[in-house]
Amino acid sequence: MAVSSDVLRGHTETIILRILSAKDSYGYEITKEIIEAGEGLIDVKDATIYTAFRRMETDGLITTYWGDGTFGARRKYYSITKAGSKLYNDRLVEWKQISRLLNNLIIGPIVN
Amino acid sequence: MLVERFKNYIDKETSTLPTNKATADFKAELYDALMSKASDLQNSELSENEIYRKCIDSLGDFSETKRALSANPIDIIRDGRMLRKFLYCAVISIISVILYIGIAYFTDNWEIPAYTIFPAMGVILIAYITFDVIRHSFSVKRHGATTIIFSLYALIILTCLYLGLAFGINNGWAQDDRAWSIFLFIFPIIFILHIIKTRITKKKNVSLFSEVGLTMSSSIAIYLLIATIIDTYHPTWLIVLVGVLISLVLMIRKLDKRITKDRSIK
Repeated sequence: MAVSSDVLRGHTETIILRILSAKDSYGYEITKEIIEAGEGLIDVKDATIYTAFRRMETDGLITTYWGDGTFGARRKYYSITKAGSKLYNDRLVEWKQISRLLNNLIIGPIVN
Repeated sequence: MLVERFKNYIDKETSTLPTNKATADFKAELYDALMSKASDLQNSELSENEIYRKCIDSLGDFSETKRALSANPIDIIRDGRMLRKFLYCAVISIISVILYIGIAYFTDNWEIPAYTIFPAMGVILIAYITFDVIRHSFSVKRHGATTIIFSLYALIILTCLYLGLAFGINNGWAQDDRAWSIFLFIFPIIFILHIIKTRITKKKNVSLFSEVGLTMSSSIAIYLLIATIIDTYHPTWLIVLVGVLISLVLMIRKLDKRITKDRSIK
């Protein structure tokens, strides 16, 4: 069953920061990784990712540099900053707490 | 070739953006995204057209990014393409002046060349600007000055009509100076041009403001025109009331659509 890409709303930046915390990457690779991690059920457009990039770069969460792309074209690579790493860690803690609470609410508390 | 098709697509999508580094970087990113996806799909059994379609669809809607990159008025004026247009207009104007001085000097007639060359220059400049505006409006689907330029044409035409009616034609209407009522139609014409631009070039729905604006300005213009011609202001004012009635019906129709849409979302 396909899932609306709206489920990513509010989490796009966190997802991008998670991917970049592992290694520097570029737009298409990040989009592809999200689609694969979403098991092909979430359709993400490049425009969504690039809009997030611009916002995050303005906020100082990521930096960019140019490298070589396909067929000799230029490729813009993105790299996480210290501020981006800190924000990701904060959001990760928050997410773990929220997902535990939501699981309790939706699935029900786990009784041992 | 996919490379050429991608480049053409990107050039078309970014043609309204200013020619600066930010736009060049944006185009490079789009090109890299398309080529990367195409490279992944090369080994599939898809045809070139299908690969092209899939790559373009994967981009999504870049309106927000394009809006962020769009030029402010200073950038538009500094843009090479705009400067080139100004220079073309300057060249046409100077050629006209040289022609006029040359012909007038050698024929020793300074009036006839002035009445022919300068109006011809005006027509050529207006035709050039119109062609450029229409080309941008239909190929790019956005041209900020289209409505303004077409409105200027409407004003020029109405002014010529007024001058012709008021001074050029010797009839009862002109003698009573009722020709001024021609100018009442400037607002309906502006609304009509805006609606045509919205429907044909932008392919968007017309706003309620435009619909009501056209209705009210038309009803007022028609009322005043008829009342002026037959010199009867009552009960011809009912025409304005009909305009108000039509405007209310348009508002109710728009509200109905919004209520239906809200219900379907819930």
